[in-house]
Amino acid sequence: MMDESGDDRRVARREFLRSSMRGACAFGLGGAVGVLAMRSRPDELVWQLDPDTCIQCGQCATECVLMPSAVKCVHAFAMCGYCELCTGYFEPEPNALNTGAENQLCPVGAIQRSFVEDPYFEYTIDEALCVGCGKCVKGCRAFGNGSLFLQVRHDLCLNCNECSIAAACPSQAFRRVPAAQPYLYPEGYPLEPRRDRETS
Amino acid sequence: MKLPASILVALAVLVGSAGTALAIERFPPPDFESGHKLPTTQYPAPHAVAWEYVDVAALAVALALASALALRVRSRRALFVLMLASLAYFGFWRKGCVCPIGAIQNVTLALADPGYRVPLVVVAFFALPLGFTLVFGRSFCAAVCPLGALQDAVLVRPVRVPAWLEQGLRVLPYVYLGAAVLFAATGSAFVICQYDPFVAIFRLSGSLGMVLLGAAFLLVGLVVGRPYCRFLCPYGVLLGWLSRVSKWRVTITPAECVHCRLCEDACPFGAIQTPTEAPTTDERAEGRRRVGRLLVLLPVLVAVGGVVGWWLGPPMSRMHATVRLAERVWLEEEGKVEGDTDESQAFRRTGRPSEELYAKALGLRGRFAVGGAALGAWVGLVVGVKLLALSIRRTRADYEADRSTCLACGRCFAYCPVERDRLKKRATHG
Amino acid sequence: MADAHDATHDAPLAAAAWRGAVWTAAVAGAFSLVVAALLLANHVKGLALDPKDSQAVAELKARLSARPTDGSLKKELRAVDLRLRRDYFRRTAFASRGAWLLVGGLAVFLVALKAAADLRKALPMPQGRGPERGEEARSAARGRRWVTAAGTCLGVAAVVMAVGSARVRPPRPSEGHGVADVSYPSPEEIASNWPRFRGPGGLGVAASADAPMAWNGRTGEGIAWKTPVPLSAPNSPVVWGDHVFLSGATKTRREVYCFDASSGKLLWQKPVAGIPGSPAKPPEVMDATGHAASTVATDGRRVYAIFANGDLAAFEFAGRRVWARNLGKPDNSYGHASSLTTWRHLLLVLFDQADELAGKSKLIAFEGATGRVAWQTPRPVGSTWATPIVVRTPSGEQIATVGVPWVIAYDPATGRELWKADIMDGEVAPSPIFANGMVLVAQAHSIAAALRTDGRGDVTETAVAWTAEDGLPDTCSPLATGELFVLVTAEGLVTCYDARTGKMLWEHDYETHCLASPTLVGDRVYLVTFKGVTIVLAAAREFRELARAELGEQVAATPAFVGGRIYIRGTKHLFCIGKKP
Repeated sequence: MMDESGDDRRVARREFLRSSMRGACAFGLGGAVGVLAMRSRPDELVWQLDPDTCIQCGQCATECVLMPSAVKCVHAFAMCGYCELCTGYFEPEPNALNTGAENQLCPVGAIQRSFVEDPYFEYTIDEALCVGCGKCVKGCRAFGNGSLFLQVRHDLCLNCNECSIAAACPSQAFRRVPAAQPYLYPEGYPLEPRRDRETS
Repeated sequence: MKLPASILVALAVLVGSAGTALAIERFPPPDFESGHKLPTTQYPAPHAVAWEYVDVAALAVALALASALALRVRSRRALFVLMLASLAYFGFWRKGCVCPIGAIQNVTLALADPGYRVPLVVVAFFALPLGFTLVFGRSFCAAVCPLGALQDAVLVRPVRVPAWLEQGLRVLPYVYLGAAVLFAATGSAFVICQYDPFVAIFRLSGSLGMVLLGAAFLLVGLVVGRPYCRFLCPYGVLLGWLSRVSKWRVTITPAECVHCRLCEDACPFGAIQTPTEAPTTDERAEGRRRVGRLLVLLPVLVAVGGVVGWWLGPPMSRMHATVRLAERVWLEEEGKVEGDTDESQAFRRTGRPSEELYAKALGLRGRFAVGGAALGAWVGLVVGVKLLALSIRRTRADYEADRSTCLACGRCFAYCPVERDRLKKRATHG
Repeated sequence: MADAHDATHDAPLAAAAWRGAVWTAAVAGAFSLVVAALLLANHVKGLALDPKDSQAVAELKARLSARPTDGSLKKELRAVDLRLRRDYFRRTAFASRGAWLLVGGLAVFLVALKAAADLRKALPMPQGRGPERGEEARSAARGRRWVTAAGTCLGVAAVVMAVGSARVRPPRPSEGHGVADVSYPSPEEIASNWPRFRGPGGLGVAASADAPMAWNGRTGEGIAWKTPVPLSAPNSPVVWGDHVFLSGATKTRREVYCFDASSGKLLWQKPVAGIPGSPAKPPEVMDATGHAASTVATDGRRVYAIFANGDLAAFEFAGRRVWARNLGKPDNSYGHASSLTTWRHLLLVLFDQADELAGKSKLIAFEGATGRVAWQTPRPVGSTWATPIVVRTPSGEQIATVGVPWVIAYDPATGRELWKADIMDGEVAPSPIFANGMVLVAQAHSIAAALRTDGRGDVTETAVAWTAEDGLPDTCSPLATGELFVLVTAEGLVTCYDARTGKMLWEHDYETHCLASPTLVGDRVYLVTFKGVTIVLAAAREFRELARAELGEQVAATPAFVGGRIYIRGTKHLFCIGKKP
């Protein structure tokens, strides 16, 4: 059994060691935070996919942690040719140019086709139905104007720290973008509205 | 109605080159005679960053509250309520992301890659619990961390994990931390997020594998207290270090210990340390010899770990998509494998020379060799230091909560007669 | 969750509460299990009935394309599709609602279970006499053992991983190649040999105007030597220096042959076999095409051969195989027939397959010395049986290829497309040629055209100088001088145009089967019919037949003209026409 003064000395020594370690840790933590603050940004980063790098492999629909996926097809109407034979809407060599299921590319029927004036048809995406499989995008890019493209929808996306789709994407089309500009547009996207026609 | 051949020929003529990634305007956008207006495409914005700062404030408030409840008020019930509130808010509402555990990776990436600027909110999530732990101990674990809260909530009948098993398994969080840092620093993957068992439960959505992993952890958690926290959590390593030197700490007794032994089985997490006797001269000499041997062994362990880790570098480098792609492209070019994958096809379409890809992959392999050596040395160091720690005897007079593993859950308070006494006195004095 | 409250309860009340808690837990637990099982079943069903790739719908669509006007089939397809889609969205909604139900059920289960556990919580009853002397030391010792065990396990696992993956891991790409031989022959060397199908540059023009005009294969007059070729094939002889190269194949055997040019002796006969990735089953090919339709090529250092199953091999002139690989079984209806060509130290392989929508076609450049891919470019065309040529234009060298529907020119150093024109149709077997700075192409059921080579990108509208539509060949490649453009059809119709304007000058129908491509020797055009008759015409603006010579054997291959001699491959023998050495 040690004497009291020995005990006290030991305890005091331990306390001193502890408080100096604490000081060192505080200094280290403070320093780390300082360095990080210098390499930081005030806003958030969100995930988005680059439509020009995308190869429409179909994994956006299957890899997302959400079901259905937060990636959906978007239509840039200003780029669209409004063709009667839309290669994003119709199967190659469709049976007929109508809205029959046998003619449609979209497996969930998310594209609505409506007549505008001869010979133009308007194609709109029903986002509630779209699963982000990219079949329409593939057809539109290969034979059409490329006005259909996949995008991460930020009203749905959970902004996971590690995006499962980004990890699986074969062409590495996903990257982090500032939350203030969360969408990436394909080449040829009219960033300014066309002056020769009204857009509502 | 079969299409006229002219349209088919037109289709054939319109086939674009497979290599182009540009959207070509093949059909000029029409001018509508009827004055039809084009609909606008909606681009919903992500939620405002201000909400993220609200989360940071909530985190700070929760941490302060947890510390106060664990140290001052000493109420298990209040801590439990706070824990459920944290589970609901940080877990099910925020879907458990970004959490301080995952923030380790963001911070690592920010330090390693100058091109990545970490959001300030993530830095706050990383640093706040560490700061509070340095001062008040691991109150974050008890009542704020949603992963811990979920495990604590399912703990029904705690079974004691024998001390030796616990010691052996406690090496894992260090390994996980080292691996997570390595993979984050090289930009390969955020493994903590990929293998987070509970995030699928918080999101109520995920792949079958992730859901089953979470279910398995919770099933084990019914009887084993907080299995992820104790045996896997990499953030717990940092918290453990800081709480070892914290200014204030949770004590089982509010005043002095009367050695009644009633709290011996109180902690489901094995964090209560029993009093020990002072060692005899022989035991002390034996202990010093052992410590001496281990001190000599330590650099050997570090070196062996470093060598094994360096050797493991190239297979680990396959966690990085570029290395996997380079290996695949190389195998295809050498004719060792038939066909191609989506990845190699996409790569060929970029038209970039494979030499460039190989150079990148070799650079990454080099980084992984160095990083792997560091990871191996780290694991060797951890094993050596743990052996050393188990060889150094501490003389304890009282029943104490282990400084590094006590999660400040407050379960032990109810077992202490001195505590009950204090509450009774407080009740009678109004 | 016990707080500082008394552990002793009224016994009956406690028992009732405990029973209640256990029953609630049991019910909630059972409910959760049922919900979990339903969710799992829902998920598994979803895997099988995915609208994104539904076997049922695909099959119905295929049947509908066979019978496009079948109304009942359409109705059935629409019904199946609607059901599939509706069930998909129903399942998704079920999954999300079910998840909440599961969470709720589990929460109730846990609360009830905890309440039951709390109610039955025993008072702390510490066992024994407290911590014994030495217990901590023993525990610490055991802890040390297990930490060591953990460390060892990790170490062993790491070593196993490292060793196990080393076999899968390819060596560093920069290793093992050393300094590859990137030497290549000079233009003079190429011109004085016959290194590929249709000679130097693939133009079908002999370097020397000196060649025999009369011989008789049956009597042996004018024949220097005649050697049997072990396996028959329609590929043409290739000559470099003193060596004549051929390849031959059956469904199961593929061989490369080397003959001595002076004596005709078979110097070596090497099999092309045992290549990793080589398909077990040979492809289906047309009998006339066979399994070795492609002519070999040489760069003066090695001879390269390709076969219908995708096997590609390189041999040194002494016969040693340097490298071989398999490119995959070509998806080609008649059988792969594009011949090989070289550019500098690269071997160019035109690997066109299927149709233009399948995206399988590509042009690949291999390093001749090592077989490594230098570059490869996908091609937006379907199967082709023509061979590319490398041409020299004022702006640099170009690889000119013809396919359906694009005629495309590439940069031989990088494989990048230079220009392309959408003008072809049908099934292209005649190879392109080059004259007056223009690429000349011809194909039956399509057109013959002259294309300028100075454009970039899609030059369909601008590059075509002239087109012609008569006497278009479907097998034999055309021939051009600066003045004349000669076409030979497989039925023996010979047509001659003005190479600058496309105006037809003359035509003559021999009405005999003809597979070999015509060759220009000096001011004469040599034609070999399938019967084995060589017809020599004047390369002039009017038709004039100069001579005929009989071989006495059928001929499907184009002859080689080197050093004043002609090497003709018949169906059974290789002939050398010329003065006996």
